[in-house]
Amino acid sequence: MKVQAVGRQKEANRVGAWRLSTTLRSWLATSSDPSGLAAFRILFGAIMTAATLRFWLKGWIHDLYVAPTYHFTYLGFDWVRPWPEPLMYLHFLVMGFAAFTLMLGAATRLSAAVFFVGFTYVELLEKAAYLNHYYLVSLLALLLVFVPTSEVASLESWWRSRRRHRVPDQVFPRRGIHEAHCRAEASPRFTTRRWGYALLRSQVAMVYLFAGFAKLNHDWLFDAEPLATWLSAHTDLPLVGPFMESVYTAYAMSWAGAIYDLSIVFLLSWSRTRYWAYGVSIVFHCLVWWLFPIGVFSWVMLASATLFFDPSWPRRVLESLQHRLRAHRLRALKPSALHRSDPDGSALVLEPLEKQHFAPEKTRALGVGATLAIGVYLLLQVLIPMRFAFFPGNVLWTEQGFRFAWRVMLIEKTGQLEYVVHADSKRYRIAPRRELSAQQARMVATQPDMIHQYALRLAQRYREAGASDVRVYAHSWASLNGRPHQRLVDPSVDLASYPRSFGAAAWLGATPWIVPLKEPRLGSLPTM
Amino acid sequence: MKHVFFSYLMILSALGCSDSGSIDSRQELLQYWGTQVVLPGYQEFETQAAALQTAAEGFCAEPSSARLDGLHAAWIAARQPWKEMEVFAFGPYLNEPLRLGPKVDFWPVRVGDIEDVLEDTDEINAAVLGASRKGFAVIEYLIFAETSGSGLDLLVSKADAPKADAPKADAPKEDRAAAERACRYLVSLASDLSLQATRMHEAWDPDGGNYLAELTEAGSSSTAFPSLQRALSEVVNRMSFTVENIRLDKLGGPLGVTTGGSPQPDRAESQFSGRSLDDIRDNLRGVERLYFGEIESTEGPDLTGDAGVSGNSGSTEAFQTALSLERYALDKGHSFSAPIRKALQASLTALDSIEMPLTSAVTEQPERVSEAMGHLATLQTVIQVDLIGALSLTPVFNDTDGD
Repeated sequence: MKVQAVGRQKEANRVGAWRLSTTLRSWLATSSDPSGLAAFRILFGAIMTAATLRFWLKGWIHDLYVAPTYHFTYLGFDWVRPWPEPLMYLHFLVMGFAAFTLMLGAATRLSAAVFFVGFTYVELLEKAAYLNHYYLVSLLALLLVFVPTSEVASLESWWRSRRRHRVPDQVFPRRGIHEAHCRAEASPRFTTRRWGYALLRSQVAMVYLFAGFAKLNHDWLFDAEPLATWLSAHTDLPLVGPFMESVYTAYAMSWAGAIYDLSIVFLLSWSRTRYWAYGVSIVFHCLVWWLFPIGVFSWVMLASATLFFDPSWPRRVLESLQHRLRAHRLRALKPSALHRSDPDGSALVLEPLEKQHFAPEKTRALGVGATLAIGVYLLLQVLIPMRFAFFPGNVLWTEQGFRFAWRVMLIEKTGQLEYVVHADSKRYRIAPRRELSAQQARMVATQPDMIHQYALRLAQRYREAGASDVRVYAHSWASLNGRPHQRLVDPSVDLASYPRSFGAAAWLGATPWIVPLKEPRLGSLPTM
Repeated sequence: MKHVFFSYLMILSALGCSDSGSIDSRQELLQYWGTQVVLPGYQEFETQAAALQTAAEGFCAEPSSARLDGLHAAWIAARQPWKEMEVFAFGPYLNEPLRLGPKVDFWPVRVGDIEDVLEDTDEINAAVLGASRKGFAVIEYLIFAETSGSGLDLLVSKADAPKADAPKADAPKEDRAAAERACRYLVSLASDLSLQATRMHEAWDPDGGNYLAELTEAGSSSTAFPSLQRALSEVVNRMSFTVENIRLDKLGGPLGVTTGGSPQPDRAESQFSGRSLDDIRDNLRGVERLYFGEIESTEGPDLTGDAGVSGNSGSTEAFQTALSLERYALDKGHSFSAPIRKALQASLTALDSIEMPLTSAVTEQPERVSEAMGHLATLQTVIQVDLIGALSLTPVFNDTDGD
């Protein structure tokens, strides 16, 4: 009996899970207006086109990828190497073109794929150039390979429309005020499925939420660091300059930033607070862009925030504009210009655009494979930022599990680094900032994994020069968020004896060379 | 709603503009450094370089040991302001098209290059010679001939020799010819050095190239610095670079710490004049002046409450802190005076404890040289890590999102 009961329970659970899965899959497949996705594609493509051009014009292709003779690669991606200089520029040209065609919606998925591969390749070349928002750009580009975004407002849809549903000109005996309306009626009714929105929204939501949770630390909340330090450098700004030195401003902005990150997803999702929340987002991101050298991050986030709007928002905006335009034209028209069959010009303001192009359709549930793929992707996006929990110590100091975790604007870290290489019986003191680019030198001085990586590089160099017994010790000092300097790396540990691998040393917290952070912030005087 | 908005804007403007008459403290500091440190410093260098040229011409016109001594003194006198200004090794010092730093002071000296010029027979024109064949180090090699063996001392010994000893003092004809060529080389070098000194001064001068405005007008008309913060960052980071150069190049190079441990005296700066350690002291004085302010006078008010550290522990010199990095940091709520002063003092004391020229000390007193390097490392850490971090002066090269 007991066995039968357990069996029935299992069966019931299985059925329940299947129903839940079916409900979820049906929900993901629900018909949605595609114009919100199209607007995001256009905005994202435009920003990426401009960003690629900006990168080129600022000379960063040369500075970051051509000039350095050594590159800090990511673990497992040592094989990713820069092209020769002319090809590097060609690479950016192709990447920028792909972003442009993505914006236009021409070969949309292919464009997204080319941009994703091109952009991610560039990011993998140099760890010293890592930025959270570059990582976000890679992820969004990857999602745009799969999410359908070219149903409307794209060259693809325009071309499809012309080929499949071309209405001969003779249908319209006279070019008149009815023509546009009749063509719209003849055009296909476009739709998309909800999963595209769900996936992109989840991705963006995770950025905000993880960034918000990361701000719930002592430095940010109770010392207003690093904002207090950063803002004090902006006393020369017009209007707000005098406020930048006040610690109250730093506290206000720190807390406001944390609250913003933690709440904005919900405020944007709820129709009652949406427009207000987007207004706050505009102010927030423009302020960040104004105050800090954060590049295109603000614009990417403002574009991404539109994903939380009602999917038909672009139509409504266009509709509103078109109504105004038509009303304006109508007022300008003389009565004699109106068509006999439409003496009051009502066809000019007839049907809402959303009805002309979008109507919900009955759809089949999303496939199990697709649902699983979405689930696995989102699970990874949750787990990757949380991997820091496997490492001991303060993540802001050790930076183990720091990247790819949406820890944005959390640290002001300065460092000084030198190595002492013991090669056979000789010793060499090496200052890496004399061998690396300024950007690399700045980053390696404060990031333990890069310190280790360069130590291995030095060991390799001396071994290649013929030394048999090579040991590398790092003399590294760093300061985090205004704390007095302290050792970052244990100078008695031979870094060359630890291989760079996915093994225990790198992933299970056994990093004996990192000296734990002494928490108190000392040496600063209170400022008001 | 519009009224509320405009009222808010007006309040903001009123608050924001309430202090509009005052100058940004960074701009004030940069202006002070420019007008009170850089311009007078390079003016002094220009004057001393011209005096060196005169001394060189005078010596070669009528060689004598007294004139040679005068030439040594002139070289040292020109050296001092130049080394004090090394902390401003950017802009015209480093950047093309001027790039005056290497033209004035390329070291360690490449004796082979100098000998090539001396052995050549072409007319010498220092203006077209490469950096390793002119400048302070080459002049030093020529005039401190008793240590370098350049041959210039032949002229002196010939001139100073009593008439009775004339045949003895007579050197072989070819040696005399070589010494005379060395003298022509010297005059050309001194003339070129004076010219470069003038160019350096003019490059900073508001009536000339006005690089000074690049610093003081940062964020407005400056093309080199997009903000005052970046301009300040440049100067403060140069302080750190200067200390690192002292450690690793000026002390560490001859000691052999960067080359495997074997002392290499020929990598020392000012190795023929024995001025290596004084060069370092001058460098540190430049760093000290930027942080603590100009040394005002022996009777000046001691605004910091501490004694100065400019080499003499018993000095009554006081520092004017009204315009200094120390004052700026204090205004921002940070005090690094004690650790910087302590490290500076310890470094200078360690340098003072070296009882012989650096070229000898690296083999005979290496532990004292190492000790000085250790104290300088502490000084560098305080500047490069603590000071730069606290004042947010880390140079930013491209986009960042704070990670």
